[in-house]
Amino acid sequence: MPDSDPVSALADPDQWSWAAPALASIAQRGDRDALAALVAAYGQRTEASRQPLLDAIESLNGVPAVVELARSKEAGDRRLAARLTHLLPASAHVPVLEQLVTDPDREVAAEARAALRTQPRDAHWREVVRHLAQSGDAELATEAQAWQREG
Amino acid sequence: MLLQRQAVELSEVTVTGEATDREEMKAIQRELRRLRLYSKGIDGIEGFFTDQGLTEAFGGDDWFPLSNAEILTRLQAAERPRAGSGHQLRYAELFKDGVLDVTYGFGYLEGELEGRQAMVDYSKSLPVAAATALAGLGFSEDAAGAREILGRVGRSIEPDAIGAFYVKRAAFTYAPAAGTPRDIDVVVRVISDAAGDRGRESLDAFVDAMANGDVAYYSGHGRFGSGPDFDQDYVVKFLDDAGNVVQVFDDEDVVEKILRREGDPWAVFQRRVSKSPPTIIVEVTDAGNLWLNAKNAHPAEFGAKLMYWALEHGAHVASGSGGRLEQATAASSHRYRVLVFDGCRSQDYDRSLRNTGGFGTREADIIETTRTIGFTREISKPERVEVQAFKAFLSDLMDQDSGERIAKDMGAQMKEFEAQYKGDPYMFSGLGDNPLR
Repeated sequence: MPDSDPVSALADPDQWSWAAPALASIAQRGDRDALAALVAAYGQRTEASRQPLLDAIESLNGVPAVVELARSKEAGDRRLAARLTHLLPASAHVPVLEQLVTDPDREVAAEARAALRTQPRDAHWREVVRHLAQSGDAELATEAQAWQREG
Repeated sequence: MLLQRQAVELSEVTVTGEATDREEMKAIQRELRRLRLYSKGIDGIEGFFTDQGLTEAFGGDDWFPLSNAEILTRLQAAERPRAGSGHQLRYAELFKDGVLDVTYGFGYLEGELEGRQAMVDYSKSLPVAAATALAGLGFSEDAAGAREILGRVGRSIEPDAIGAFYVKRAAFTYAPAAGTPRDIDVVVRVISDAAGDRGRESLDAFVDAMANGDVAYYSGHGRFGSGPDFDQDYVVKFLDDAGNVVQVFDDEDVVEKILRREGDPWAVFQRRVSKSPPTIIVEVTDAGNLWLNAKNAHPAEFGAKLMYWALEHGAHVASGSGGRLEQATAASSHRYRVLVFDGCRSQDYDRSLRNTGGFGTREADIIETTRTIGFTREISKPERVEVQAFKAFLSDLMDQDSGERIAKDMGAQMKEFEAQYKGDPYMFSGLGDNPLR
């Protein structure tokens, strides 16, 4: 029998199709906990479609929520911000990710780097990546140079 | 009269002899039945099941040069084992050379948990957990010892071969009913490559284990039922009409969502990849793919369609007639192997593998999964659910338990350690033609 609480139902990928939109319909736009619950569900090992989760994250303002989360002193918030940018790429994320790629929290930085690679490659993205490719952080510079080689 | 015997599997009914031979063979079959190693008809015809029973009774091929009378004498002197339940694995085939050669391969993981670092950390934790589990079973890391033991049975391992080697000498005693008891040395090779940049080496080692080892155990992604994978699957690039890259994706669900803005995602994908010039290209990294199932078992899913499109445009099916696996087993001296595919919905591989020379039900017993497999419930703890299942498997194998018991004990580990446990995921395929216990 399905769990009636959408947050706890997200633990089961078979229930995402109703639980994700249900959560999106009751949570406030930009609700940090709701976004975190959806992102955590996304990380489960499953071959079920994750589209209900992505749609719910988007409808909960998962894109505009990134800016505030990225400014948080809490590493968990910044990790959530980086993850959101990876799941819902947008040009608006690039300035945020430019900061997060050197975040002192290694998980934030790693996810931000993975996310930056997948953002729309407009002029601003290319300028940021060109700058990072010359970074004193050798690992970051190597990654940025690899993105440049991708085209 | 001595029947001529060869160290190969006989077809079901091949050998007929004189009337006395047939009566002798009936007597042998009765003895094999008494020893619970034969459950077919007493027809005096030596076929696969009679040969299997004899090999299991003698713990190998020692019966080949014996006369029927000598075989019968040895069988009659053997003590009848106590009745058990389920089917036994063909332990004589696994242990006849005195070595149990196990390869445990971790597939490449990406894109899940809480992001890249969490996934990398999880991947790196798996061989550590395996080392701990093996130490708990009395194994020591010993590459030189492994090379010596495997070399003794004709398996050469290069000094720079990928993986860590663990050894337990005289790990257990194998005592076949009519054969000589012997101690078995066990070698476990753990293959893992969290970075995914040694995918080809990992795959080559695993295929070698499938063909020439006793046990090949895979833990990792099932790639929508297509097969194991030891490196990243593919990268999707969106291009503009001039051929410039405008976005790169490493997650098929994100690709699907973005394509959905233009209509049916798969129709949009197909239109854009076939456009001239294309506005989507897929770069397949196939070095680590072991593509087993040529047919997409999940044709309604975008991710499965994309996976198969990528494989069809950059990989080769390893199963089936003339495929890589068949070629590998054709060159192998092994007549039997145990395989485990601990990945999502690995039962999808069964038909393709069974239609591959060397992997029929008489040549391979395979543990498969019937559902998707979750991560470890408590990641902050050192145990890993995948490794706990492997540990149960190996422990039971060394105890010479039934196939059913092995699968059940692996499932019990899933119940204890798996996040979102949803019932026992393992089934053993191919046991039906093995001796009953």
